[in-house]
Amino acid sequence: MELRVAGVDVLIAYRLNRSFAWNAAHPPSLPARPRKLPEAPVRLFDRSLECPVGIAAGPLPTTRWMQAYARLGYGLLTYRTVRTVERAAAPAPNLLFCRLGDPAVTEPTPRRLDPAAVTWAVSFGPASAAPSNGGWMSRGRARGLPKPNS
Amino acid sequence: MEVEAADGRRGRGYAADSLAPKWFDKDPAKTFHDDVEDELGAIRIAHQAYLEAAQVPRTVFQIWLDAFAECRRLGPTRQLNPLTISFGSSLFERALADAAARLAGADAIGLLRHDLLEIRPGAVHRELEQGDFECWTAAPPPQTLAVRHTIGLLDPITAADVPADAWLRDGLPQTLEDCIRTYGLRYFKVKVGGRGDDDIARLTAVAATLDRLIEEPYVVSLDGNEQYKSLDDFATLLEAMHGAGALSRFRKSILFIEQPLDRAVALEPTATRGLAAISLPLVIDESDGELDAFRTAVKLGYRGVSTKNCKGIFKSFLNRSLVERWNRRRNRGRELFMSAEDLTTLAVIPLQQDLATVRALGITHAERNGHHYVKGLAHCSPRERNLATRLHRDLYCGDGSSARLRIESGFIRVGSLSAPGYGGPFEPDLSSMIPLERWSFASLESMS
Repeated sequence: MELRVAGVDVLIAYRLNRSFAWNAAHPPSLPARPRKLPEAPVRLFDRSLECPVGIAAGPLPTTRWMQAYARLGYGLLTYRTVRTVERAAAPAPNLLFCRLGDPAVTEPTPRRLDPAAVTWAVSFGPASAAPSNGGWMSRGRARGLPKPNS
Repeated sequence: MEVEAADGRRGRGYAADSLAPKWFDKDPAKTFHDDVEDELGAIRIAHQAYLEAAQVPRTVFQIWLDAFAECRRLGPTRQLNPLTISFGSSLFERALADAAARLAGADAIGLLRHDLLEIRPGAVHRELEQGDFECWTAAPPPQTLAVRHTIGLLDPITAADVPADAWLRDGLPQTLEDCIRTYGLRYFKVKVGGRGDDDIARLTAVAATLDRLIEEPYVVSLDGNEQYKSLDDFATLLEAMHGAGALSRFRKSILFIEQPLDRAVALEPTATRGLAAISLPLVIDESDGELDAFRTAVKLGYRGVSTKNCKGIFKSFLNRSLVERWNRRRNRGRELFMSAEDLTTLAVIPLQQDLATVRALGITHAERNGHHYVKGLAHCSPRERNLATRLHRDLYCGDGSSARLRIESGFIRVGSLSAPGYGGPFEPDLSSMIPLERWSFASLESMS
């Protein structure tokens, strides 16, 4: 059983001890409105990004997750590779903190992230939702996200 | 503590304790007031640490790992010793466990047996495997616990020890002989004070009363309360007891000895040389400040460690798992064990949660003295007395107007603690209490 102190308003992040499917089914609450960032557009390939900071596809199981991170201000959101057939993710854990410089050594989840001390290792496997019948094709379109290159 | 489960359900968990002076920290330079301030300081540190560690849904064990580490990091910067730091954390450990139990509809046993706290003992003691934890949680819990009655250094033994104007006349037994007759006691914890001949005289008086009033076997633990600066001093007491014919039956009834040495030296190899040669098992109590204290103690020859909720429930669960693992390699008669000791734990929440821990650990007798030094449930509101006596008829007698612990033939029955909650479903009457921000130490002085 997992608990949190009630009444503390925080965005729920990817849960390391839960499966990919569980995280996909439990997206974070969306921040009420997009975070206002200072104007600093950058160009990447042929597109203009509002913010140059991106996030990897691993901990973004669904478009709902991507929307949440977009509202936090991330400018480059990576939709994970999708497939023509449904594929399950590798069993949890799929994402672990590990020692910077010695990625074979896992570390407990740090209380405060210090990029100089920790990094991630991921192993999600070939996870992909079914393409049709409510799968990634229709969800991506419904959320207004650009069609991924498959 | 108000919590939210990962599925969105909300619930409450409670914890409570008295702010006991002169145990967590026995520094003679500190006053009663200083001790209370330190304990409140430890609680405030823990409060912040647990709030930060529990911002997103996590297992209670994960929350504890992070929050306790933060308490241990910050405590020394405020001159708090390990026991005081653990006390602050322990309240939140209990409250979280209670919230989890209430949300899951489980008692303390179910909480552990079904792994609802997701305790991973290997995260603290690398040698521990999950099986070391699971094997003791699977054992059937006791339905009754023998009360090990505290015989303090100043407690009257017979009526002759009570001055004429010192009788309380509150309907409760006052002397040791009254307590034995009223409660049917068979287990005793006798304090010794590092005072040589005075200790022998005191023990002789206690033994005479026990021998006179109890025909069947009785059981004794001796509590040194850190009153001995060296093992030689304590060995002198044991030798003197051995030579005293009046202590023959009493001596044979001693089960173990608790913390004779000052915590400053009790885990030092030099000061404890020869400890393993003492024929009676010794356990640590006040020295159990750090998570690895029991390990250190066992290496020195100690045979046990006490559990007290005020030292932290997770530490007790981990120590119990260490006992399970290490005993597989120990010779018969040299096994390790846990004892259950008391720090004037009062009804309702503190007592029931302490009993829940003792019961979950599978310990069959526990020191109890909250009912001995405090008048029953007189400190509770009528609503609390009413609820406690209604929900736990096996544990208390009385009603909303007056109530006390129900001790019969030396035992308390704890079956009603198997209801949902860490120590049962009792809800404290918060409206009858004074919020901490409006409470002052001076209010105690004005009452005394």
